[in-house]
Amino acid sequence: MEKGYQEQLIIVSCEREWVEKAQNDPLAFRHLYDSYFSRVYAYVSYRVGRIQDAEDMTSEIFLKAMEGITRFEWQHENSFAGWIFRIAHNTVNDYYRKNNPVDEPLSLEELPELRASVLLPEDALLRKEKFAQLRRLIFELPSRRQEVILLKFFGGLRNKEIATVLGLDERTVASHLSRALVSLHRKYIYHLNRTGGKEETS
Amino acid sequence: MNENNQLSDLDRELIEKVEEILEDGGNRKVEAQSILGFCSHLVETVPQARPEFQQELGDRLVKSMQASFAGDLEAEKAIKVTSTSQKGVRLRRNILSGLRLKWEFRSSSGWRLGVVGAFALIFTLTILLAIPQTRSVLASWLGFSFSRQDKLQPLVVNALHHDWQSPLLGTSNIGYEIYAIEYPAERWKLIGEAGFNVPAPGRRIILPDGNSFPVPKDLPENFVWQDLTVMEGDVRQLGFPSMASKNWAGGGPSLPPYQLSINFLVGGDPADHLLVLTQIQAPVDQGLIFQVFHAGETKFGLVIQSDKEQAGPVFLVGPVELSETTIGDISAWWYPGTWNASGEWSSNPEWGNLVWEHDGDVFHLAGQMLTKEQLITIAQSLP
Repeated sequence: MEKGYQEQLIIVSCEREWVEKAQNDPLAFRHLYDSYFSRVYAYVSYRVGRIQDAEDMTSEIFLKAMEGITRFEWQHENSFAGWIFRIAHNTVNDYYRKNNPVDEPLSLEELPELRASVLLPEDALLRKEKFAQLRRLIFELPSRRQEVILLKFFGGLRNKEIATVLGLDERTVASHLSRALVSLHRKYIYHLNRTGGKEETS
Repeated sequence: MNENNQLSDLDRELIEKVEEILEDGGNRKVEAQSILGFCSHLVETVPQARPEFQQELGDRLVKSMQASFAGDLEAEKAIKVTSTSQKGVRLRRNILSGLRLKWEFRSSSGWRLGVVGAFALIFTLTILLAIPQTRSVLASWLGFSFSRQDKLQPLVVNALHHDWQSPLLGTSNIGYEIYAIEYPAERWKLIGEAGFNVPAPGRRIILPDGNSFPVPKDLPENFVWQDLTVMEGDVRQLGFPSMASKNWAGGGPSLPPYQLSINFLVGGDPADHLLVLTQIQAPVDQGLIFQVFHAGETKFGLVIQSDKEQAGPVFLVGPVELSETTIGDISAWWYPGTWNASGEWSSNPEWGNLVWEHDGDVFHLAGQMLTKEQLITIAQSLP
């Protein structure tokens, strides 16, 4: 536990250094980009679904971050993650407001790739089906809870950081998280029982 | 404490276990169908980007920053508008962009000018591109295309020439919304004596939604920028407190859904003459009519309606003569007068207004007791 805390301190201290350097050093910004890219992309992918939109929006988010980095002021250890995911959250919200997206099923070709893992050793198409299925279940939750789940599991944010992004207090985030997980799990088990463990295609 | 933040012991235990699963990256052995098994499943179901996309975007950002630090604004702009996907460009808020320029310039390939010998080459190309007979052939050879922007869409229309009825006069059942801002009368005192921070001239302020607001550098004598009011988001990150109170109202049938962002930069002088720069980010494909109104020295805002006649944002003015002018090489419109809070037009010449587009946003600058030239000077100094 002690070691984990020490490691965390080192990471935070490094991040602060990179953030400060990035205000006049493009390569330092590249370092921050590399650190946050996967998390931002994963979060955005769940929110928008389509790979093309996820790439567009990820570009837009980092472009905004690049434009704003010189004015970013480090306040505490959660502030940079909170800041960049706030940009991500607002960018996706803007996209939804502008495009009035219709709730049409996406074909598997339109969905992003999923990382192969021990729990998901299947081929790429099956992994995409799992993504589509989880995304559908998440989108059945109230919007606040969707956000908390996505920022937690795919944005990799701590509850305090999520609270910053969504303008909530930390305890409310924990409560939304707990209730969202219970509800999602129930839906997931129901879905598994209904399909006999087989995935439905979109 | 409310129902949204009550945590039971079971909730707390679940949250702690979830944190452990996230720390382990989903490698912890748990019962697959349990709630923790489901959490592990979530942790594992992570979309990953195409490596070439990640690489290319990172490279572009670094290049853009380098160009920015080197003061190469053209190179920076070229990188900014080029997304790694074909649809990326549409995300830029280029409403009517290039409209004020007579020609639109597009790159259809990754062709770039070399630096060596550029002066002679650029000179020759400029001459050839200026001649209509050689322009198309040369552009095609270079990998660029030109298209003529013949129709300049007005940003200001006269109520006499527009199919419009005032929703505030109660003569029709028209849907409208009112976004009003009210300032404390003693705002000078707050700034002068209480030492409130104010927006710094010549800077771009990053807004909570990630967009930015350019604060004009030049101001008439005795005027200062006093406050920035943003439509959405937490203003604490702006670096100064907002003194304004915001108010939304409306009536009639609901407007069709639209995405709109309105921000007000407020300035003034010790005699309480008001200067308001309004930034509007509005949809290009949907018509919205704005009426700027003023009520006394401390209250102003916009009446918003749908516009069936044309797409994009447009400012409606009363029976006055619009005058077309320029801010640098950008077309702009100037008119005197203002609407009042009852929806009536006042030709009061003490109000001067300037409307133009800058970086894809539409700006409206209203000044009390300021000349057209003074307003243009302010507008020209947007960073």
